[in-house]
Amino acid sequence: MEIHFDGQLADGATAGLKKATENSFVTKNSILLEYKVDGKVVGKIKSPCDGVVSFARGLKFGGALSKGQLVATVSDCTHAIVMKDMCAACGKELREQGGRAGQRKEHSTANVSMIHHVPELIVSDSLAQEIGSADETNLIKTRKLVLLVDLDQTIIHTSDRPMSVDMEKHKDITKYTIANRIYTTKLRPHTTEFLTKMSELYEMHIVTYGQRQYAHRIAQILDPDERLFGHRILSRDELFSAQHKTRNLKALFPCGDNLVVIIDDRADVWQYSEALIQIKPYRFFKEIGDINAPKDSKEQIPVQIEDDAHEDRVLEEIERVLTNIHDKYYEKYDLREKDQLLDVKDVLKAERQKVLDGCVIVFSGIVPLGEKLERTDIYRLCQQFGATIVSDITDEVTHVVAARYGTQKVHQAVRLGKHVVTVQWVFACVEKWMKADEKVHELTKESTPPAGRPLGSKYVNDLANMDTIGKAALADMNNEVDEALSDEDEDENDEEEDGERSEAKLKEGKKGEEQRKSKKRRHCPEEEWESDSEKEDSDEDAPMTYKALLSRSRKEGRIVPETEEEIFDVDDENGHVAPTNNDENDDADDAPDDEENQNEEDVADSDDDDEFEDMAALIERQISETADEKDE
Amino acid sequence: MFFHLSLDHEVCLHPKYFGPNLNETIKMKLFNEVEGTCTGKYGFVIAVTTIDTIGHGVIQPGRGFVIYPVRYKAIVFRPFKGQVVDGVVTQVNKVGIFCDIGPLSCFISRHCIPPDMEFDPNSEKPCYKTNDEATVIRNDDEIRVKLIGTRVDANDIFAIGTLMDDFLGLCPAE
Repeated sequence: MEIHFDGQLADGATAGLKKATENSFVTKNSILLEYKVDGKVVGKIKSPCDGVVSFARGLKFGGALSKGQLVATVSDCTHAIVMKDMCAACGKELREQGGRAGQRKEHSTANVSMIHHVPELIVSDSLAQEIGSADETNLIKTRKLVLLVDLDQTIIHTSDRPMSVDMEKHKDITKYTIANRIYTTKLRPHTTEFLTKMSELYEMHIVTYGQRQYAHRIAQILDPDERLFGHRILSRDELFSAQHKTRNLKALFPCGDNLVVIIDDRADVWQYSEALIQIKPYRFFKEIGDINAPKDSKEQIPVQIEDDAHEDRVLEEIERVLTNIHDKYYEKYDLREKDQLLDVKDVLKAERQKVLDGCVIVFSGIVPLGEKLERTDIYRLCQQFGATIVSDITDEVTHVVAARYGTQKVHQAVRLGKHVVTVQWVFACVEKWMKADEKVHELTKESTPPAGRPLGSKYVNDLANMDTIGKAALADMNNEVDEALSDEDEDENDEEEDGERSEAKLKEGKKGEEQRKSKKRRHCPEEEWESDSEKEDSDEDAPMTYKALLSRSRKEGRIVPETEEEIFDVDDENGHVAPTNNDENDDADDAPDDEENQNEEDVADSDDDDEFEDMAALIERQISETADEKDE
Repeated sequence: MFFHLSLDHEVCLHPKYFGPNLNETIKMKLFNEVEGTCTGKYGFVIAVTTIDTIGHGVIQPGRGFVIYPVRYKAIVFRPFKGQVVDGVVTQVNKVGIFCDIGPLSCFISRHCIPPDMEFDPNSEKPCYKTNDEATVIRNDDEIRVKLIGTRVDANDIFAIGTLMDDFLGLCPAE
């Protein structure tokens, strides 16, 4: 609805103060504008209905108002900001009656979640653009860039296992409890200085796969005054995707990620973004990786402290790199033509290319046969950092990166006086963004593949450490296999023997095994029996299965007393050699084998436990049955 | 708005508490279980004032636990649309202001903040302020808000507020 100035009794009026914000919601009869005559407020323009107000273009404070002039329009609310399915401008309920979150009865233009830790708060595209561009202008004005910081293994290392740490020795370790679990977090050396310095050059955000509570707790440790990160914390709870962090960028920076630099220890979660500076993962507590990694895999080993964790200087290097990038960006910015968009990714790329600029690299023993050179991670890495990779040694070649000494290429390179280096050299360059000293990483006859966890994908790593399986380990493995095989053989023999024996038994005394067998058939539930019979199909021998189980359970100490008692009872009552007695002998014969069986099973699989428990229950039932019959 | 209501609650007690302090235990448990909770219907239970009756306990078959029906009076806080309340700012960002009104969280969008106040991300703490910096709203400030909408869930209430009316906004420091 359009509102025109009617101007009664107010000739020569000028516009006074606006009493409503542009695009804000006004209720009926609320004041939109005051108007003045001779500097005195003489009247007010009121809204005739509920709605969103937008003032006429030419309307200015102090501007003359003529009769019939368009002052403002009041239209329906577009619900541009929505919080928990309520319009934050007009307060209207947008959720369907009894509906779940997100089920709206009325259309809203809002669909961008702009505030990191409040995913329920969404704004419309146009508003997001507006806010985003305001952000960008502000960043440029304060000469800052955006830095997205990952937590786990980038600037901290957290363990969720109990441990005793000398708090006096490690002052930057914090213990805390979240949801009844005790966590211990160690800051990477130099973290506080790093963050403080970076906060002057960058607007920092936390982007982590940790849960919200965890992320905020860590932020509290890193930044108790909320000066560094403020409320810019994005956690697992707010991430759109379980695998990537990239998707949230669009929402956080609606005007594009031109100013965004990322530091993370994983490249895959950022889909190998150009803006990413990959950092060597920080490990302080041994045997613990990233407790908040996208894919869950947790081992349970007591925690020790990694030995070389104190000499970690990565953040100092990264600080240098980031400062450099910031300076270069604004250097370029000052020289740019007007309104030209500058992407920090280009600066990053250029800086990265400088690192190994002029290096011509040949790989030896690193890319496996049959693998395309161009597809490997190490190739990608070298190329990103500006090296040229060729496949054969020529005069231009400067470096030969080799996995082990003694390949043809290595000999050739040594003859020609080229640098022969380990893969670690590449990683060292990548970590520091600086050409590392070739002498330190020189490959010699004595050099062994280092056991650390360098930057780069697991794959490259594995390749570099190919030869680390020791002879002893191999021998052990062989033994294990042999043992397993021989055990099986013995079992088969046993079963055959057993089969014979049971046949004999069947002929001699039918009371024994057969009775037992038939009882088994009668008393076990259908399903159990089926699973049983399956087993028997392969064995073709019921008593063996039964006995093996019996002795196994005996070893486990589950049914020992009962069985033994039973055996004695039988002896006492019958006074002669009963089938059970036979059983006992058999058991004695079988015992050693069974023990091996047992061991083997322990090693091989623990998944059978359920089945085994079923069987044990079955046996127990049987025993009690037999006992009952005996009583009768 | 605050109400003084008579409410019912069932206290479930472990048999180990059967003894001379039984009544005290029931009271303690009631306070623990009831104060600070929120029901969509009555709002936030602020404090239990009196305990009227503690009914006969009924032993739960097979468990040994006993359930006592308790009738008590409590002060409850139930926010309504249109109500004017005082809150404490908890967070200021580019989309608006979050504040706490006791146990109730409230959001004030930038559309509902007076037009003469603008967001300033560069000050030490982000804030909304007028050009002449006469009024500055930042974290931990007290503001007077009018609620324009409430989201009532089974066990939580959330409110949307506005500062666009007379006498709303920053409360003068005392």
